[in-house]
Amino acid sequence: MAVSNTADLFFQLWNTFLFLGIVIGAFVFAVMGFLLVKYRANDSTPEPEDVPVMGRLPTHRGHVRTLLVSVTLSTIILSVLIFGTFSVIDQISSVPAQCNVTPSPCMRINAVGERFRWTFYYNGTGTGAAGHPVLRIPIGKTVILDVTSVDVVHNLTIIEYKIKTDAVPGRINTIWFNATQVGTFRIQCFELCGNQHWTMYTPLFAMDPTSFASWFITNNTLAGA
Amino acid sequence: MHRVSATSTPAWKRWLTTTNHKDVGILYLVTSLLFFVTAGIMALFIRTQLAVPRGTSNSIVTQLQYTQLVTTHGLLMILWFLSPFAFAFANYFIPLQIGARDLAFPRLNSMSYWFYFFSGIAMGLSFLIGAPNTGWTLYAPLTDRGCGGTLCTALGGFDLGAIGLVLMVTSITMSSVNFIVTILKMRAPGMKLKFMPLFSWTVLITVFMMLYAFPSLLAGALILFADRNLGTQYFSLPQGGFLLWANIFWFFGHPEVYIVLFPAIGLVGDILPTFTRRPLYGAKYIVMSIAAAAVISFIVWGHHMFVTGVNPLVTKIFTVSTVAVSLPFDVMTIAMIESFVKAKIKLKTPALFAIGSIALFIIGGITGVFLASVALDHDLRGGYWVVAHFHYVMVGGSAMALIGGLYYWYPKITGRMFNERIGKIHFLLSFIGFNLLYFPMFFVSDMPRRIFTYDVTAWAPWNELATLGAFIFGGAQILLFLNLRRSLKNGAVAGSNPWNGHTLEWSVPSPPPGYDFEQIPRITEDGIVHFSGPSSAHIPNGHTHTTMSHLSQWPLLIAAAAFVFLVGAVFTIIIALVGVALGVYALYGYGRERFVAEEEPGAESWPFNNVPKLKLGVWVFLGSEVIFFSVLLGAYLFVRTNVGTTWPQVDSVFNIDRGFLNTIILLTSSLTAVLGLSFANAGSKNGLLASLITTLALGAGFLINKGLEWRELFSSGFTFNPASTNLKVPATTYFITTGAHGIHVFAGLVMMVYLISMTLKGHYLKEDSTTIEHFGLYWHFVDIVWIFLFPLFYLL
Repeated sequence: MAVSNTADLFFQLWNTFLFLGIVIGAFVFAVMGFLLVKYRANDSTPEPEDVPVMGRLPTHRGHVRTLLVSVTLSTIILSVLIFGTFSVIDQISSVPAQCNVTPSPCMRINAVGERFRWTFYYNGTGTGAAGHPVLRIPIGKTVILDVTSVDVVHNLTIIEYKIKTDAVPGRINTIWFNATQVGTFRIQCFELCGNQHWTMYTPLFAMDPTSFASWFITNNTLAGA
Repeated sequence: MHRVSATSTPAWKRWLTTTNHKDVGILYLVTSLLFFVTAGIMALFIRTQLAVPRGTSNSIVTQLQYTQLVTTHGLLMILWFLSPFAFAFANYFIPLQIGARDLAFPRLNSMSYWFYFFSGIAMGLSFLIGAPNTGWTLYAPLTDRGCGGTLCTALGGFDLGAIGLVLMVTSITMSSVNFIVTILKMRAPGMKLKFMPLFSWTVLITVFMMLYAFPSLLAGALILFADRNLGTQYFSLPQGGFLLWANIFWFFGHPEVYIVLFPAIGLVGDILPTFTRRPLYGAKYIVMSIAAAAVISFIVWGHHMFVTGVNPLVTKIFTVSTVAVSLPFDVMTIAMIESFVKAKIKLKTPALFAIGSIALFIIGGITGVFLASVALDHDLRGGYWVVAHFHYVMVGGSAMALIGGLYYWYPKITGRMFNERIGKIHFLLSFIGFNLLYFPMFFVSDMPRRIFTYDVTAWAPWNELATLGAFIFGGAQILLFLNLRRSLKNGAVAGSNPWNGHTLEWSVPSPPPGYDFEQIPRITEDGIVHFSGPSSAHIPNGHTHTTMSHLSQWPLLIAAAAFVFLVGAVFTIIIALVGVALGVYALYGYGRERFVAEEEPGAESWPFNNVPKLKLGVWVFLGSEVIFFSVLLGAYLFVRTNVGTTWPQVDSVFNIDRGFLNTIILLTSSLTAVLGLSFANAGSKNGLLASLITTLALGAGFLINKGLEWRELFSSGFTFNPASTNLKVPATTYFITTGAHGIHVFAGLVMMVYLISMTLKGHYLKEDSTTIEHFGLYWHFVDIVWIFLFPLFYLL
């Protein structure tokens, strides 16, 4: 089973693309290879009838038929890919409606990128709010990340969850996911933000709800609360 | 200009002052290959650094150097190698393929090369002083003021890189105008568009794309330069910022990657018939597909911004358009593969590279469809799948085909055959090395791009393979250079048609004489080429068979002046003034020079039969200016809609009276310009003079009024970067947009000074009035731009 709902959605679509890509690619290469071998010239091969000669600009060759067949087939295949894409995007682009009730069953976390680290805030980013350099989340709960930056454009990617968004100064970009397995995963910046861009990675700890709850209580009081 | 024989001109003088399209082609060839090697060596550094996980203590370069290498490698390969390499062939072979003796504007062509040359010098200096380290995509605010209000990249070389870009875009714009006019107006009698070889077709389509894509980059570079050096706030404020740059850059950037590809596809389309001994299958459908892909390429740019946080509906639209663009490529590929059916395929070196490039392009194309899906992009963006994809299409699809073209046309250019055996070995090593280098990258899509090193051991084996491939691929190119170098002296003598090709370049000697064709061929309706027979298209009188013609030193000097001026504008005003002086001197010399590019009677020029070359050139050029100002105005509208209600009220900042006065001034000046043309046509020297002087005075009045207005604004606190937050964006957009317009007005004034001085000598009267007409076109355009600016800034 996939490690998150987003990864699950992703792999279904990915496998479709991959399968079609490999099959079509292999087919085209097979045809190409076959033709190259079959029609390879040796000295005894006669020149074709319509061989282009100096002094005559070539006549048209070929029917539009084959090309139309190919375009039609391609359109069908590509439409499958487009619809698949639309379906996935519809599912991941907006925060699930269930999160909008109060009290919300979802967890909303601010993720702030700056050169060269990520900071995660569980209780808003107001004064005194405690920021964490690693991301801990409970499995089985919808987690929403509101991502932004304080300097240049970064990109927050949760590699194994197959989800990412740019961290743009002055904007908040929102992604969400539902983790299904306990484990340690990797968050990394995927947009060049300076010479130390390569250092901007941090772990994501997906924890079982009980362990997460006890961590949360000890580590997330607002200053003065 | 003087006509001299090849033997009496010293080599240095010939190469510095030539305007002959074949010589210019060779200049582009050598220069572009130098960049290929330079950027290639940079790639070897990158691959060595990435071969194994290193950490900072075990690395071969510093973090800064690495990021600079990555940036420069990209910029040089895309802008300074691929297109110039393609245009080396375009320069050399388009006139030959269409049956002309040179390009429409030979001195402009030479100037294109020298602007490219000096842009390369600027890039070289930039690299030495402190190259940009932002990736070739130059994302704001990294390039701008993202770092807490200060510049993130304060490297001195950055602005030199901007100069390089500006010079390069100028070079490309001049080339585009030149090739469009040449291909549309100078084909041999009977050489209808349908008879043109595929390479000529793809170059024609490509230069149209260049004309409409590059002004966007120029506008972006101008705004970035102002932000960095004048304190304007387009890219550093959230209202403009990252998304504004991304839109401007990628509107240029996506067509650009097809610009570097299409000439290569055209080359494959020329090579295939020669080595399959049959016409290309579905040639006209291939042309239609390329034209369709060219058009669609302008509406897919959003796929570079899929995860920037834009509206999901927008991403869906771009998914559809991007997936759609694969269809024409589909047609092209199928048609080319069909060409093999019942053919007689000779796998000589040019054919190996051409066919190899088709295969690699297929992989690049299929993997590109993955990237077209906004859903998949949520995993792939910024990772090595992207890197693998674009190298497959740009190196595999484009560069390999162009190298095939180098082998294909080497005998024609040099008169010698290269060593076929070594050519085949070069191909084999390149093909194997290439795939070893890039295919493993598809397996590390989880690895981010542009990282200095990594700690994930799972990525290491793929990186090791890739580095091994890099050295095989890079090393193989040594064979190319050795082979071609050695064959210059030792190669078998090639006749005029060693491959038995049918396109017209194979009908002339190898290498061709200075004037290309003894007699311009004539093509009849059935496609038969008549090389001799009744025709008035002979070698122009006064030439001998060994004559080389049309030397001019002014293109080089103008390019040098532009370079010096821009460097001065960035670093020190004294140098800028030297540049201005040199420029004035060189432009004057250019204008005064009696340069006659031969006009062939009866040239095929449908549908522009009654449009003179120069007029077509001016119209085409103005098309690029439309894009330039559209991007500037678009940027203004973009930030204005994002700022919303805090924009200053009408008439609270800008003086409507001054704006209105300027509108009246310019409209009147257009009237006087039209009057001037009437006087010129009627032969009235005094009337023309009076009109020109009045137009000049009005134009100067416009600038003086604007200058006074700017002074008033500055003294009221409305500077390039006002203290008041609400005014920052309005100030930025106002000064940059009206400033760019003002520069165009000033250029018009300079033109008028020149026109007046020539009118005093009795020029431009009666039939000679076309120059006045062309100036009028430019001047009216400048006025029309103001008619848009005035209401947008003053009345809304």
